[in-house]
Amino acid sequence: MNEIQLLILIAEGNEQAFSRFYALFRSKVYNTCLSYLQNIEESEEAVQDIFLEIYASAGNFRKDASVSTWVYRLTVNKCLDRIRYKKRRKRFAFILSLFNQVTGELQFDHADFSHPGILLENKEKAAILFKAIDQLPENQKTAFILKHIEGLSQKEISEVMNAGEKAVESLIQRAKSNLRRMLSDIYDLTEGKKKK
Amino acid sequence: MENDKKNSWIADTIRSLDGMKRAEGSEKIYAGILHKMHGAKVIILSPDKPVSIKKLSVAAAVIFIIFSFNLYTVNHAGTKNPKQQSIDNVAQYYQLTDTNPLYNI
Repeated sequence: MNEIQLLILIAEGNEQAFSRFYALFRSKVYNTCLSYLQNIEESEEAVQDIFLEIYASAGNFRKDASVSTWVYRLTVNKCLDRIRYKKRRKRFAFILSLFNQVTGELQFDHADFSHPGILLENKEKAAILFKAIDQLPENQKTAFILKHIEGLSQKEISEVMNAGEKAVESLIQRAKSNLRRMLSDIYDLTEGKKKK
Repeated sequence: MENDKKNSWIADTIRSLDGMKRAEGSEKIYAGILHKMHGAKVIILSPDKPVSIKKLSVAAAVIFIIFSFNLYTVNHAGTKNPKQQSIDNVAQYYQLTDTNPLYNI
């Protein structure tokens, strides 16, 4: 039974089909959520919400995109919604914590998110990279995560993001250059502190 | 020299995602989905925004309370008009009541 047939059964309320669909996509959805939200409990909650939405709106799936694209689109949108909600709530705290009130310099507190799938020897650097990814603008973040963490092709990313392939390529380049700039700042900050 | 060290650190950090494996979420995620599916029934008003019955019930209760309060206010506020009430107050102050005896002429 293919993914579209599973979705048709889910739309009819078939829980067995839903369970099989969950087994097929759980890992992709969970990993994408982890990359965006960088918190295990929050990602688990987001996965639950996403699959509940899939269950509720399986009948609305249009065959103009692949099922995988549709699931990724739902996941990305749900994660971005959660991030926006969190940002709205923490806006003032965020602004205050971003800058040191005395010197005005950019603050960098050491990353505490450790992705469970990262190799042990890369954990520390990956944690810093995730912190930098978190600071990227939404569309650059999405393009970077889907390309370098989820391993999607540029064509698949363009379908998920409803953008042209050229636009996606440009977003990935800009994301990389922004990440290099942020990492450079972090290096200066951490090395500067060590020297002092 | 320092610049090379920095560039190498940046490149290593960006490459730190290489060899990354997919994480498997815990089993409790699916149990949670089933619990939410059966525990809190959801009404689909629009495909993008499923609304739980709990939320709808709270909204209905709030509307009912406001409506009842309005009904009570409308029914009880009109029993005595303000003009009549002030005349009664003046009459009471000057003891102009119906029980005053007539002049005994």
